[in-house]
Parts: sequence; structure tokens; C-alpha cells
Amino acid sequence: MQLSDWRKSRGISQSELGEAAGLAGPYISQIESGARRPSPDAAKRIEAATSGEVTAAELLGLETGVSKRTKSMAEDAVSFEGNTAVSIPVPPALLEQARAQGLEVEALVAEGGIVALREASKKAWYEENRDVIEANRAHIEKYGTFGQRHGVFRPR
Amino acid sequence: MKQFDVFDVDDPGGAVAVVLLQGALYLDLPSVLVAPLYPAGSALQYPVINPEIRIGQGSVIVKLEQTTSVSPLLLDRYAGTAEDSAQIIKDALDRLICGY
Repeated sequence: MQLSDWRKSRGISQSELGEAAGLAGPYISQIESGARRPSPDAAKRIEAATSGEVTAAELLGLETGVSKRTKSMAEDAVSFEGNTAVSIPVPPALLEQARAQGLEVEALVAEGGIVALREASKKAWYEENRDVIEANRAHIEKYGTFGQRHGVFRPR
Repeated sequence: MKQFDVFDVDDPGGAVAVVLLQGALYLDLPSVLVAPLYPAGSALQYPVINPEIRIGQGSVIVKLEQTTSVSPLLLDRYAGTAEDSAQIIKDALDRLICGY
């Protein structure tokens, strides 16, 4: 469900939802308008504030058609008839990240979504660490890398 | 000189020391792999890949993404060991290399 639809159906303001989720009202506004994608932590807070009716996966743009279908299939076991269960190795660290972001791992795998998960994790990491990345970029511009200063193969 | 030994360095970029990452078998090579250490609380600290560790009485962050090979001659001021944090460093290095 769209976050704005959920909020309007409850008759609550962006500020009230923000307060319930421990987030700023303008941040909720940006998420609803699509101007900003929430961090995994914020998405989980919103999911909790909406009692799970708006999921973190939806907010992170990861609940795709296939994952919705898979959820529907899970609710209707008959739909699984004819399918074969297979075992697919998934790196534990990726599973950990998927769970942390509230994603449906089975659906992601069914959709070949490991790549999507990596991309989502990458985007979230860059978003959350924008300031540190910028600080490092500025530092390297000023001083070079440690290797450039002390490395065996530094430019002379 | 052994793996995870820490050596003070003079660095205009703010690194205070380096930690030796190269394994025992390869320590007699003409270059060794080290990661620079910066003071804890630095604005340069990335989560996950820059773990904070204790060396003696102080804390530093390990800037693993700036790991580089240096001459062993740079490592002439022994400052302690990061052996107690070896697993933390290896895990962070694993995350840096694997990308997740």
C-alpha cells in the first residue's frame, strides 16, 4: 500500500505519522512524494508505525510484481502445485542485509533479485554515508591517499 | 615484526600509525601490506569497513580501503599490536573485498 494512501485512510497528518515513527514530518513528505527514498532504518520505523500495513520492502521500492505474486502464492498454497523446491546458496551476509531491510528473501531469489538486493544495499549505503564519502573525497583531494604519500609505488 | 603489529608513522594526511596485514610467510619481501590508522572519532570513518580498535590506551580506526604496500623501512617505530582485534579487521576486510 502507498504510504500516503495509508495515512489518508487513517486521517493522520505527515507530522503525526513522523512522530509515531520517530521521524521528521518533512521527511515523511519527501518519501510520499518520491523525492527521497527512506533509509532501511527509516523504512522499518514506518513499517512498525503502520503496524506492517506499509512494508519496508514497499518503501524501499523492492516489493516488485513478482514478490507481491509470491506473497499471494504463499497465502494460497494451491498455487505452488507443480513447482519444484530448489536449494540456492545465498551468502549469509546478504541474507542478513535482506532481513535487516525487511525484504522477502524467497521472493528476491525467485526473481533473480540478488542483484537487486545488492543494488538496494549499495544505494542505501551511499545514501547513509554521503557525508563521510564527501569528507574522504575532500581529504584525498587535499592530501592524496595514504599510498600516494607512503606507498612503494607512489608517484615521484 | 609480525602480522597485526602496529607502527607509528609521520603522516601529513593525519594517519597516526599503520597496522601490518601481511602474513608471516611473506614478511621478508621488499614490500609489505599495511592499513593506515587514524584517530578514533575521525570524520573519515566509514561504517563496517573502518572498524575502531584499541591499541594500548587509545582507540583508532582502520582505514582498510587505503591499504597499501610500503617499504619495511617505514615500519621502524613499533607501537603495539592489534592482535586482539585481528578477527574484527579480517571481517571488515572481507566485507570490503566481497562488497556486501
